[in-house]
Amino acid sequence: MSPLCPIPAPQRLRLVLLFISAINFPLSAITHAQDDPAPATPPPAATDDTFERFRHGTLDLATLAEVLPRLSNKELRPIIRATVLEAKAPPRADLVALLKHPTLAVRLGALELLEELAGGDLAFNPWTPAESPDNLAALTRWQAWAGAAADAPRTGSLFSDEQRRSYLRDLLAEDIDKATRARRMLEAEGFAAVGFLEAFLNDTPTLPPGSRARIREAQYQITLARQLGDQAADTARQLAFGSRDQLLSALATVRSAGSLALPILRDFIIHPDPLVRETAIDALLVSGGEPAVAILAPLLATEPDVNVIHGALRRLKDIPGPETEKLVGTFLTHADEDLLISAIQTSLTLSGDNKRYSSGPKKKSPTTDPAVLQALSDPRWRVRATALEYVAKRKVTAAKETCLTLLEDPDEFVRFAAIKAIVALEAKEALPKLKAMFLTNPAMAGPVIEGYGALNQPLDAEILAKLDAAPPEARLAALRSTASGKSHDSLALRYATDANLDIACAALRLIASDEATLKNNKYASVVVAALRSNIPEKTAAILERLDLPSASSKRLDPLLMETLNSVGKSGEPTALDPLYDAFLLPGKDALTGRGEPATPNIPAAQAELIREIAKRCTPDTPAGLRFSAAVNLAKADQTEGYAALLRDLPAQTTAQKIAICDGLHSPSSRAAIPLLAALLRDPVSEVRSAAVACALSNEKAKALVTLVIEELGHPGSPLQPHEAYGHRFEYAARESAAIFRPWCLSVLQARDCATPLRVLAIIAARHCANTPILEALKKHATSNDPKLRRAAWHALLCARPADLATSAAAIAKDPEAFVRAVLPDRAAKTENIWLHQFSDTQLSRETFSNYNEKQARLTDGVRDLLKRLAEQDPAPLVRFEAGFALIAQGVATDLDAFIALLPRLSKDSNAADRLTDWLENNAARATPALRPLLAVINPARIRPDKLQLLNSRISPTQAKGFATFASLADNAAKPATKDAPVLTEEPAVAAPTRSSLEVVFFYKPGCAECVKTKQFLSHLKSDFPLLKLTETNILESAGTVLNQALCDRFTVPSLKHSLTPAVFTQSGFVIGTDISPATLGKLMAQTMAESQDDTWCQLDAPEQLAAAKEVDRRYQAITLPIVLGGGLLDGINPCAFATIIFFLSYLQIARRSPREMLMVGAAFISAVFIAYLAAGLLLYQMLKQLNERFAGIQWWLNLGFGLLALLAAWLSLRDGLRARAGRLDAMTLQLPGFLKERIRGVIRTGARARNFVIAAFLSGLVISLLELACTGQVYAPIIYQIQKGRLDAVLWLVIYNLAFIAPLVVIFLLAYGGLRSETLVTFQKKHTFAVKLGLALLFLCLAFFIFFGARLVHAL
Amino acid sequence: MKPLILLLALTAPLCGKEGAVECGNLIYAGTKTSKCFSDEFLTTVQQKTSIATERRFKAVKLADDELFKIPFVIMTGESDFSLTAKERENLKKYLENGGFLLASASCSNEAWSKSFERELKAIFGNDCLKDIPLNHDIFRTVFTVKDLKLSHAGPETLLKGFTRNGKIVVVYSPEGLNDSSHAEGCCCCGGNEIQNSMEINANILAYALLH
Repeated sequence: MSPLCPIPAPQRLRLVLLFISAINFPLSAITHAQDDPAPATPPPAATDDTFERFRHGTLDLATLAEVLPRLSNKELRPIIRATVLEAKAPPRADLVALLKHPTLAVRLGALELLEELAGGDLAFNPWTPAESPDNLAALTRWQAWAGAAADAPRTGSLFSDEQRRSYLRDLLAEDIDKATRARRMLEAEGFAAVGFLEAFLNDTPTLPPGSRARIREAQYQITLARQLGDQAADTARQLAFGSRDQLLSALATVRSAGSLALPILRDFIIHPDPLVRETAIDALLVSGGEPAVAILAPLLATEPDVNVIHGALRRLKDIPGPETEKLVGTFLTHADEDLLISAIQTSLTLSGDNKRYSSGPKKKSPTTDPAVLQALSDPRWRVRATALEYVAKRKVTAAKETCLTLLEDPDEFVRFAAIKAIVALEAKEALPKLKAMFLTNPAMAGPVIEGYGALNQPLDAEILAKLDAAPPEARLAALRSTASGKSHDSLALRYATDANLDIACAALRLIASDEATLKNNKYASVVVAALRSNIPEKTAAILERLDLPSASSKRLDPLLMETLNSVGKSGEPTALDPLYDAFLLPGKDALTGRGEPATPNIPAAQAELIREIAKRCTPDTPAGLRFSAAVNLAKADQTEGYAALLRDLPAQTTAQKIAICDGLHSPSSRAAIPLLAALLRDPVSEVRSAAVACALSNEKAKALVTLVIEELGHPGSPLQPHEAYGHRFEYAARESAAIFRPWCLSVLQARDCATPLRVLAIIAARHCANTPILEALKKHATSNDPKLRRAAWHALLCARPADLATSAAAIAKDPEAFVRAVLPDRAAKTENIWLHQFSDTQLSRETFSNYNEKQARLTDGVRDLLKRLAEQDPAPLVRFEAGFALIAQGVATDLDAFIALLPRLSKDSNAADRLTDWLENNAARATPALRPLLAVINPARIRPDKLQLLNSRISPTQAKGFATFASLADNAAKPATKDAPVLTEEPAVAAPTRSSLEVVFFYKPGCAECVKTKQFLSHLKSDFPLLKLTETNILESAGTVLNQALCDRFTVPSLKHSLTPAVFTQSGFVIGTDISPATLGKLMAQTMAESQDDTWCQLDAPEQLAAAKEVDRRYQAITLPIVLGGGLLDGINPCAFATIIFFLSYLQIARRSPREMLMVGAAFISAVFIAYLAAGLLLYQMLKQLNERFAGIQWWLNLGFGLLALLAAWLSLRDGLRARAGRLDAMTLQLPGFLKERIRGVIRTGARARNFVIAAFLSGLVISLLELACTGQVYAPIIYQIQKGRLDAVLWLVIYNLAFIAPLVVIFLLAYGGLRSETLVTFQKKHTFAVKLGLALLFLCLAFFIFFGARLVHAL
Repeated sequence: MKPLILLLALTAPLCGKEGAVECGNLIYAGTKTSKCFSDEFLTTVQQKTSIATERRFKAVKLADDELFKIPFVIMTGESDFSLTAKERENLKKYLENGGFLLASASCSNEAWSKSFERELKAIFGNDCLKDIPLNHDIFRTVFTVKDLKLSHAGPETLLKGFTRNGKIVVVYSPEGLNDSSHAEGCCCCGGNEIQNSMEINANILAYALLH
């Protein structure tokens, strides 16, 4: 027998049985253990003091003897094991000595720990005295072992093959206890044991299922032990042998094990029970991410159960990638209707652009598009509707024609979906169909009007007339359709006075619920008139939904604004200015259809509205409406509102009181003080907290800040310090240091102040620390009260981070673990959110971060202290935090020991998630030394692109994670990485320069959380002055599209799409419940650390935008000479030349003075310019409308105008030839004779007029319009060329017309200098050929560009 | 449609594919869809009971006779709505003949709640909706639900129910049973949703099918 040979089976069996008895009963109760010479009295149970000493590292013989019997206690067992086994120098010799202890429980405990340290029991039998001959040899071996200096490795080859085989035999034996012990022993060897068992299973294919299950049980337990601790054994048993319910429950537990769950879950995704398969697949995809897709794909292809596939599709949405798209694509032709719908919806979520800042060409349409387009013709209405939803969200332009067809679908819901798709595709050519749809079926009023609104099209008179005459349901539907957008909000105005009360109330609700609308006097007038009508239904409709504009800016209240840093600058707006200013602004008359509705227009309607609402604050108004009226008035800082709320306060519910506090942001009227004072003394804690937040929301108002801090110090006040703590408190302390500084000092220097209030003052003190305060903090750092020491050290190091090196030793030797935890927290950024401890039960999470604080490098001294804490601190949490701090600072650390701490931490520590977040943030710097951490993180929490980067950095050769038990073992077999650096050095790059910090904020009107988020963001402006906020209403079409695009770009989990509040920046996002001041600040800080790239929030890919700009530039390059040349040639072409000659004649006929001639000339030329410009713009708009309304017309217009240009070229050439032959009269392109006569008449009449300047102007206008009959031949194709590009039409038409009038100006100046018309006629005759030839060439060029311009632009 | 035929229609195809119960997702007021209602509770019911369920809702129009093939439907939404005459008629027949409706305002939407209550009162009379006490069987079918946890502070809330022949056939909550945290692209932005809604919905489905 080898020295490490296990005890023979019969003896072991007895050992285990008796051990179990020993740990469950007092030793005296074991009556059958006749051979046990142990005394009949139990060993002394370790007192709490002894146990505490033990936990703090006292591992001497006496202490161990007292503590070891407590191994039977399930709660203490892990602590005892960890304390002994993870000690830097485990007490081997003492444990061996305790094998001779007279108490059986001590001997059993010592042997158990020794076995774990040595990997075997060395044939020692604890049931017989150590001195017995049987044990002498074993004891000698143990003593020899203890004397050896080398420690056995904890991982890798802990056991010999023979030992492993022995444990394997135990696993397969019928003896449950042996198997239990074998699993526990193998657990010590970690993943190497898993690999050994896996190899055994592979080599033994004929193993009976029961035996195979036992091996699997062991593998599961060993794999899960690190993550689940004591729960691992139960979970493994349930997985291997549990009933269906137990198995499902165990699978749910396994799901939380991250990557390690993969090899386990693989066993169950092929389970015969579909529900088990479904649950396992669900867990596999949640835990495994992309590697799981590869595992699943072949199985899902042959999966017979639809529900299993449904479950998989639900999770696949969050694992974007080509493999997933391909897998989902296989179900896009599935016969099952529900499954097909599910596949389309999953494809929709997956089809976004997964690559941020892709440098290649824009991603092609997903391969799923054709299959979904096919689904548009599916005979099942649900499939068609879902496919239309896909088309709308993906903007599949290829589906436009089909969508137009589906507007006539027999199914109403499909028609509705088609309208949505049409809107998304901006297919304005659908408008006639939409109109027809409504005119024939008023029930479609809602969808049609919503479509019109989304397409930004006004409702024409016919639609409005039809709507007026439609049944009330149609008008209600129309009003509802306007609720999500503002395009047709005038419908609410139109129907606010409708005879049908339901319709009028619906319209009034719409108007009253939108504070922006109420700023318009016309809308406010309608509401006032409705209130004055005293119709109860109307009053109720208004007050139920009323949302008056908030008076949130600071008014110069003489009491409230008495602050040291007064904001009362001259000319600063008052609190009501935004309200009244906005009210007094003329409203936009965006009415459509029948024009001004018959509604009252009350002067200063907003002020009247406030008076009317104030009348509803009286007791004769129903309580609910009275409350709404009062809150709205208070929001507008009206005294009546505060008074009414205060009066009704005793009768209000908790929810109402909280609603008051939430609604009154930044109160600035002194009338708020009594109300807030009452709320601060409310019996309900939540109300008091909300009242503090409300009072401190106007941190500049000294009276309100003072109200809070005085209330805190009031002896009888129910307001507790932890209730006052929060983001607003931190912000107020920071912004109003002048108010807080004396308060902090007075609290810290007071003798009889309670600990919670001192803790609160210490928290505030870090924002306003001066020398006296720092001194006071230092005194508190040596206080007898550990809570004060913890708070003081933390505050001191927040205020003066440079003091870490000098304070570290004192903190590290503090007797309380939760004080020592200050050191790792301040030494490195480890995603930790500090916990402020006011009392044993009152704790609050930190809401403040100094985002601009850089993480300083550790000094040698601090690093050594952290290492000591990481290795030796008795508190697992401190060891974990210290270890984490070292890792975060890139210091090589024993990650195996670090990870072993995880199961021992409470859930509150959030350890796995913090490690996950830290790895995600440091993915680019991660090294293979961090590989062990991959086994404990939650991959689903990491963005796919970052996860890929992380895997490639940490496991370049095994980027797919831990997909099998064999890969787990391989991972364990890798060389130890204990001393390898965990992070690469930060690249020494210059700090990125930014000119702005773009933030896109999605909100939803009426969303209270959105209001709070906006306040957080506004507070962040003091930390990030470059912050530039773009607010987007997610309910509006553009907002929805932008949100979808950003969600795609940042691979936001599908459950968070379209959620508000949502905040996006260049470097990431925070959405919904994840939003807090801390998370927002962190996001801003991360963004500031990146180089500016403003393309992140542009809808199209940057390269596409750049390409579009380049196309514009090229169009411009081509168009400019054409426009200039065209204008000049057109100006002297024979058509216009006639006018020039007439004009010159006119000047001669008129015989005006030189000054008058100048005025006449200027008036005439201006008129020509204006008339031509106007005509050009008109034609331009016509062409644009044609293009927008009729899809496919572009081609026909190209053809028409191209042919026109060619015809004009031919005619010009022919005219030129005729002119050269002296046949000027035979020219085709000239003014017809009757128009020449008409122009001549106009000039003569004008010349005789008394107001000759006005006459000249009018003549210019009339002549230009007449002349268009001829010059339009040139003008029209040029306008068409301008319209084809995306150029600024007005600018180009101005350029053209300036060129056009240039000859006129030249001739006018020559005429002013003495040129006569005869000379001009001669000139025309002489140069007509050249001009006509030039025009012919111009037309040819134009025709060429019309036909081939687009290709030319792209080819250049 | 005669009640007998309806009853047969409701009981015979109670089970969908391979004997699984199908749950409908109502399309009402013409084109309003019940989005933002998580179907996770269907899986929970399957896992915790012997009731086989289809895991996804099936879109079904309130105005369509297909409604009568589905024993359990959910209805949710935001903003005002009005049912058409045909929809009111169908809803009445459906509930009087064994169908079950679980209705919930999306994200505590007040306008939707008022519309729903108005519609139900128009069909079944003013006093049709009553509070369901927490000791009712419906809170004990699968999970033992002791209270309705609201996402924000506020007064205690109760579910409301409409009882027909001694059995609740409509469960409605103005505070939101949508479990929107498990529903894609759904936002209960500031609303006071019931947080343990998954357990409650599972209970309601089990009650509807077993009573």
